[in-house]
Amino acid sequence: MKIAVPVKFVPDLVEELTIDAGGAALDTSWLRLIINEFDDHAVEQAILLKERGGGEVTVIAAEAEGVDDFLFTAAAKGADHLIKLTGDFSGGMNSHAAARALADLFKEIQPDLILTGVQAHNDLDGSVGSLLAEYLGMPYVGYVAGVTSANGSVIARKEYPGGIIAEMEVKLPAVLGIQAAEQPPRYVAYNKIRQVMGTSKIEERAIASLDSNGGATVSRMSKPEPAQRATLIEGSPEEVANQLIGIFKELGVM
Amino acid sequence: MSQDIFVVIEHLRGGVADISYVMLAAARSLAQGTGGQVVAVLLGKDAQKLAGDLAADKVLYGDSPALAEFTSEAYQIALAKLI
Repeated sequence: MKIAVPVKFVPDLVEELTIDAGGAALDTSWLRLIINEFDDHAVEQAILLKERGGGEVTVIAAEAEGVDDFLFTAAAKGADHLIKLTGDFSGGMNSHAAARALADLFKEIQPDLILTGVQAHNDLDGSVGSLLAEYLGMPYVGYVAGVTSANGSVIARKEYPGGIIAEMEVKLPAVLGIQAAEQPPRYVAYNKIRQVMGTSKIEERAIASLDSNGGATVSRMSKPEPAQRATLIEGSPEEVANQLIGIFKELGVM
Repeated sequence: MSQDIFVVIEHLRGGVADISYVMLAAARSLAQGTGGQVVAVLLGKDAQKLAGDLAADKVLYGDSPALAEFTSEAYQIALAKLI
């Protein structure tokens, strides 16, 4: 089975985020990027499927700082092919543009199964997986937490609200949006990654132009604006308690 | 183009998801701006009774065995036809 895993890098929310001069995007000059957590799980799920049933895993990412290291790490985990999309992505890439670029690639490499993170914290434009399925005419199941392969199809475990788990049989080729792999993404030692850097190759694919048509665009970005909804009650515990009682009486709840 | 706002109602095991009420409220405030109607789209199998407490100007209900459980494909086909 040929499994393809398109991944993306997202801003690291541990870092301070600043808005650029244009006021509609993050300032990328000091922005630290990390792998989208859900995509990391998609890679793990792909490797697990390969370990259980054989096959080839291809991991695809758009050019960004840290992407080469991530791709080599994926190879150290067991990925067979690494593809880096190159081009001018300085204007950002919304989900429509990413899905169109990936759909063109997948029409050529013809994977049986495409696994991708079900969402990313910077998605404003829907998830790439569902758009990709639409452009490729494939079925899509999102919020998947476990995949097993069956004859010509896969069984996807999907979590519904309220603790219900559904098992869905999906005919291949298909796209699955991964919420969680069956096990947390594995750790690989740095010396193993170093080893792989010497033997693996990252194939570069140039994307001539991005087509973001149909997607959302950001018109203004701002830090959360404080609202006048909170009242701070100050004083000793007795004073605070008395004030609270006063407020409760005023509201008619006491 | 119609100025109506469509809200796809999410439901599971006979109950409407809270998010659907939030979306109906958001649709109401958008519709006041556009002058259109709030249209709730309810898809399911024998789920008409869920339409009762939806605060919408109109409820479109689609009934089919294929809509008994949520699947993106069945919803996509039904919604594309409705829209």
